[in-house]
Amino acid sequence: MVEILQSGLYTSVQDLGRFGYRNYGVPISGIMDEHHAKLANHLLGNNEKNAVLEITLQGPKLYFHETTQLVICGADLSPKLNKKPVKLNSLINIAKGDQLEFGVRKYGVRAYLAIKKGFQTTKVLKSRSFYDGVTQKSRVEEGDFIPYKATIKQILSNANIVVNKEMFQNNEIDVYKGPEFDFLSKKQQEQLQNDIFSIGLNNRMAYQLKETLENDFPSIITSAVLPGTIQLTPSGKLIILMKDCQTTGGYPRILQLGEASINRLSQKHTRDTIRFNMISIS
Amino acid sequence: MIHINCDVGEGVDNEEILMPYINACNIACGGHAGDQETMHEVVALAKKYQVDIGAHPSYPDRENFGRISVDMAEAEFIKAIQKQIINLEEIVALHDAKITHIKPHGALYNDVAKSEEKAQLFLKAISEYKDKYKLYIPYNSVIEKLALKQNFEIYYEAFADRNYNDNLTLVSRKKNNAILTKIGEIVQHVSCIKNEEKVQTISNKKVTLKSNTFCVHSDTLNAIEIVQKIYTHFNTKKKGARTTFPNYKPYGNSGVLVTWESEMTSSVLNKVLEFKKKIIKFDIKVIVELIQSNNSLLMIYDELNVNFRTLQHLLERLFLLESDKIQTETRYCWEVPVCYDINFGIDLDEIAQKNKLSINEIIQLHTSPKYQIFSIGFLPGFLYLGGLDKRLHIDRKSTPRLEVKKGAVGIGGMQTGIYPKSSPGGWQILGNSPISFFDVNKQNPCFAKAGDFIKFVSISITEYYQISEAILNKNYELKSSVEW
Repeated sequence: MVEILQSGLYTSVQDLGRFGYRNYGVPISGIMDEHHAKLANHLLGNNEKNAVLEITLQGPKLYFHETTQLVICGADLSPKLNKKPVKLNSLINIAKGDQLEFGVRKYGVRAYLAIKKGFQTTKVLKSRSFYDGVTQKSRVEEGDFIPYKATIKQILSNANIVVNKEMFQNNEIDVYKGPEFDFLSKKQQEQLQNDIFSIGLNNRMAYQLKETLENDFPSIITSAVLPGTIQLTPSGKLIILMKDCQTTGGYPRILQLGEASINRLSQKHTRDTIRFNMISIS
Repeated sequence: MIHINCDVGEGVDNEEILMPYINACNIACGGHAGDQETMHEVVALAKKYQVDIGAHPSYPDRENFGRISVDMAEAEFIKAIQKQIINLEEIVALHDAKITHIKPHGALYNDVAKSEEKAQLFLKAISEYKDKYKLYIPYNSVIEKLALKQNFEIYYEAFADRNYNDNLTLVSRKKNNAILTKIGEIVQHVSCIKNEEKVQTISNKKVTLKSNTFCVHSDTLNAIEIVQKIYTHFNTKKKGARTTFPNYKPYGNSGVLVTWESEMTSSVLNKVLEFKKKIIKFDIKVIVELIQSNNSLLMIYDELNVNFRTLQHLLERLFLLESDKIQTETRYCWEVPVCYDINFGIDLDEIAQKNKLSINEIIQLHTSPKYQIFSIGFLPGFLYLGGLDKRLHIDRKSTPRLEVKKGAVGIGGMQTGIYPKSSPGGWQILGNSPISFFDVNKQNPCFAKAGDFIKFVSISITEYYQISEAILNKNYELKSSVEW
């Protein structure tokens, strides 16, 4: 068990998502930046489907009740084990009674804490990903206990990886044309391809962009949407749907992020800027 | 339109991808390749994609893949050929399908095209199939004249990916210009034969060549690309044609969005559900998830194993397949109890005022229709219902509530619905239902499905609490009736 001493800003258990229930209106949910979560699982020798903790901006304070190993990848939120700084992207041995906490954010938004054999919260509809109304909680809270399988002994491992931080700075977001892209005016299409946009309100459901497009394109009949879909609202707002997004929507779907771009965007913070790079479907 | 045939069951294992693009297949039946297992597999696929099935007999010589002539005694040869055809016939019968044609393979094909003796012998071997199966043979060949004389029904075949000599024989595979692999060249070659009935030979002469069907060798390295390109080149509708429904669009790098007319009507919904059923029945392995909404279907596919164009084509073809065996699912009408008491119906007064109705009229108008479920979305277990009486249409609240209670029944614009869980919302609330629309502990988390109907039944506040308690004690069953 890991005991949550402090919850941090928004910490949740996530795996690769909940598939097969979208026809019941159940969102996919799951890890926002799969690249770094998978990296953390791989460094531990885990299956990439194992559940991890997704930690946002301000990390939690954790107390470990059993021996284990863990790896933290993604955003650098200055993790400390028993008050001493520990490295990202490399194996950390945990003894019973160890405390892990986080400090200042150096880069990125979401850190991924993978634990040997994965977190063992109850699977609901075939996934451990937290989502309000499907799982009991949408985020961990002070006093919660999150189960994991204790390991018998500690291991020595030098497995670590140097992460290219360019990934966190690069602001190019690859996009495909969305189903309604061709209905946009030439001017709107050019704006999308040439302008620089900045990030407004954002969470696991969606990233809003601050800049707007002039728009007289009406709503569409409610139809399926996906994580990574960029919707254009009647008032010209651009909304990039993320992993906890609803399964259907009534706004035109003008662009669609590639998978790697969803990862990249997940590490962007309010006021960061992005630009779109159109790519075509193979 | 173009008629394409492929030699299959020869161990290349690309049939599932080829089939949607071709009209006929010639199945190796043990002579040069193929065994019981491959024949079963390929016949099943051909049947699934409604592709004509042909027997593809050869000299019995697996070692050389039937590509060299074999001298055989007459009786032995006839027996070998008949055995192959009978073999396939038996398997085809088990699949409740039928053979449409015979096409000799490799060296045998070349031999019967030029040798009168071999042609006579082959025709003798297959004489009993004369009235049953067509014969695929080359134009202006020796066997053509003999077969016509003996009243065989023949189908001229040309090769889309092979170069021709001036005497209409194929350039030997030993030469490096035997096979065409560049798409542009193949399209030009096929166009010329198809449109002018002439082939450009390797010495640049144009020689008359008739063809009813074009063969593409499925073992050519880029066979899939060749059939796809030929198919699209010759079967694509001219630009400027009216948009037809459904239309197919890519959605991300692993989605196909199929959309029908932009309206929320039963007739469009039925088309969507019928196609969905067909796709599920067809069990296309590369489709990993199928998401249905009011006038569209979104298919998420395995992009490592199929691309958008191939899947689009497969779906277009599937859409046109006869589907008389597909039964629509039983549709139910669910009687959902709703308490319209003013304690729950917190916006009843506002609706009454704005729409100039009494509260009783509102309840009466809301409980009389059977609402059809168009899709489930927005929230887990939220039903999109069609059929709200116009007199109840009302704008959403100008400021949404931070919390609308679970079970709240509301109206937003032209729609009515039930909040499956407490959530922020802007709909006008006219009552509350004690029924749960989403339960993660059930195999089907929502009891209702798209196509079903909902009828609201007005209950008193006492009944509301009785039902709530019965549900808690797992002692309540929702009333439903079979609609059709």
